[in-house]
Amino acid sequence: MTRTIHADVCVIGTGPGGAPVACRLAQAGVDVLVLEEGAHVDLATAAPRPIDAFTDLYRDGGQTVAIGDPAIPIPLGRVVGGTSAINSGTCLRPADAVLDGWAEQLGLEQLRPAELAPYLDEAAAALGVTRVPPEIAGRNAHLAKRGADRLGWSSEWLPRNAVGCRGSGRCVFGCPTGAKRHAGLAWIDDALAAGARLLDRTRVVAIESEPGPGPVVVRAGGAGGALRIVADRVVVACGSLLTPSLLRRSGLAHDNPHLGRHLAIHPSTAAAARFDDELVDVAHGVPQSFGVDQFADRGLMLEGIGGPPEYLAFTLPLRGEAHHAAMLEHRHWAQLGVMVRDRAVGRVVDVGRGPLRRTVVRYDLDPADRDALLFGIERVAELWFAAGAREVLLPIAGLPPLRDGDLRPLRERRVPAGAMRLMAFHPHGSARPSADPRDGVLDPDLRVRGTSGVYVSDGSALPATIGVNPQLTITALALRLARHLLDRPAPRAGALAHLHA
Amino acid sequence: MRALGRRSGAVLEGLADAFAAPAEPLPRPATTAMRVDAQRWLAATPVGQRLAVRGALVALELAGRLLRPRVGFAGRSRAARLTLLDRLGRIAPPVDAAIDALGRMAVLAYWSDATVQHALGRVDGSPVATGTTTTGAPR
Repeated sequence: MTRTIHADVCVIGTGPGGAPVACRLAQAGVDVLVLEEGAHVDLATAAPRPIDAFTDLYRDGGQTVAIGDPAIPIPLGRVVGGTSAINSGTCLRPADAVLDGWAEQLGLEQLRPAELAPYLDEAAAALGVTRVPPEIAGRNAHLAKRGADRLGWSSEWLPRNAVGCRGSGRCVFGCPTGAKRHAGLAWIDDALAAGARLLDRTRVVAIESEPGPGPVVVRAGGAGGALRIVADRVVVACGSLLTPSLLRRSGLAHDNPHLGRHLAIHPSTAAAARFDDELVDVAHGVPQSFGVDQFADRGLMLEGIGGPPEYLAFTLPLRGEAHHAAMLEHRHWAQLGVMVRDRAVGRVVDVGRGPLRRTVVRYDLDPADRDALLFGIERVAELWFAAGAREVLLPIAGLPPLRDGDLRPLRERRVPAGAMRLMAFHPHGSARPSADPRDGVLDPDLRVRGTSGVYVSDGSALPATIGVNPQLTITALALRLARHLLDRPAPRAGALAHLHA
Repeated sequence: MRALGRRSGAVLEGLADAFAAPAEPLPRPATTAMRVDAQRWLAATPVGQRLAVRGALVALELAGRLLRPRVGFAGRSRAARLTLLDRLGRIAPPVDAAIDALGRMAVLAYWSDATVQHALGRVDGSPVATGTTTTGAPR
């Protein structure tokens, strides 16, 4: 039997796109129903080990993969808080040039730096964004900073959404102290306190929306059986890889040529470095506490990574005795990642029919992005040697370890994309907005074109590749959408400055 | 259907042995709980992926039987396993990448085992780092 639930607004997804909308609407007295496919759990105890986190907090066991040359894993969260529950917490603002580019290319004047600034301020204040204090940054970060300083490169302690962080070293496996203010903590708890309802472990099947005014129906299923939700408005916030699929199978914008296209993912990789005489201990301290923006004009960001020993074992590009020897000295290994602002060549497609229907992500690394990544990998190696590393391992199949500052083995090698071991953490842009209906899936207010009451609020609504960790921008766009749905004027720029002065 | 069968589970343990090369004081993969953890982890993946992983593990076993010394992957010595993996990896970059992915999965499952962690000197078990002397700036 199907149960029917009525709400003013139904929000699908509790990540950085959905949760702020749910919270702000509920606080304004709107009757909000929130649906989440994952569970509402206490992250402090939900996953004691990384393998438990992959199993219980990540979508598809953490094995969501973009198919292409090379195949690129894209780990996503499936838990209240979405991917923000298992990300590193970095909250960087988009560059003004990026926002201006969105305005110029897609006519999105509403997202010019001055227009978006108040929402970014509000997001940063609500998330408790502050720069990582050096004393909890971890020695991995201090060593990376030493290398950057010796090379004269621009770098910074990264801004993160953590309050009272103790540097437990496992942000991406669920913060064990509750310091990281992921979307579940920062917004959903307040939304529930304000009267919103949450149905976790609930999967949306389809959205039924007529072109004209009228209620929107969401069909879903969960532990309690089949659900039919009738709402005035629906906010889709399933993430950049799932939102296009839900819209498509709901017959919404399914014939829009931009739906599922323009997918950017920020291809990333990391290099490990061994320090003979110094303890690094990547298991301690904030894993992503430090970044190098020296090469931002090339679209490159270097950012710290780290985690418990088994995470290091998982990431070291070694086999056999070499792996064993490295792990016995695991406290001497450092890691630094590099990501590129890519050319958004990916797409999200659906294959198969009925119960066999699957969402597939296609992504082939653009040659220019491959070259940029190789440049970035070389810079990471250079940084580690400048910091005093004896040996550097690069994520390239067949490449021997680099030793004693000698970069020639990398420079002399032709590296095809397929030989690179990549990951990606920031899928976005797959349902982009635009001023001209011919250029995008959404209108500038993030409404799905052809509907009167279906909106998108997640990474897929970013107009184009952003070049920095997108959490803060997604949250800002969500706050802007909430204000639009409440029909309130935009805040003044700087109105919230006192909150994070 | 279980995510790992008897044969595919043994191949995964063989992969952990080849990739992580445990030696005293680290326990052999077959004596750890890695198969149980991997089983649970794989059960969280979509059925197509699960079947692909299991198929790849079985294919690895069969490749061992087809190629000299014509011994299944799980039954080979560590050195012979690594030789086989290198040989298969040279077929094409995607094959090497797939082997790498399987190996990493096996390594994570192995290193997640409590006895392995203990042998490494990590006896706390708590995910919260407190009172560490290694958090601050390097000397």
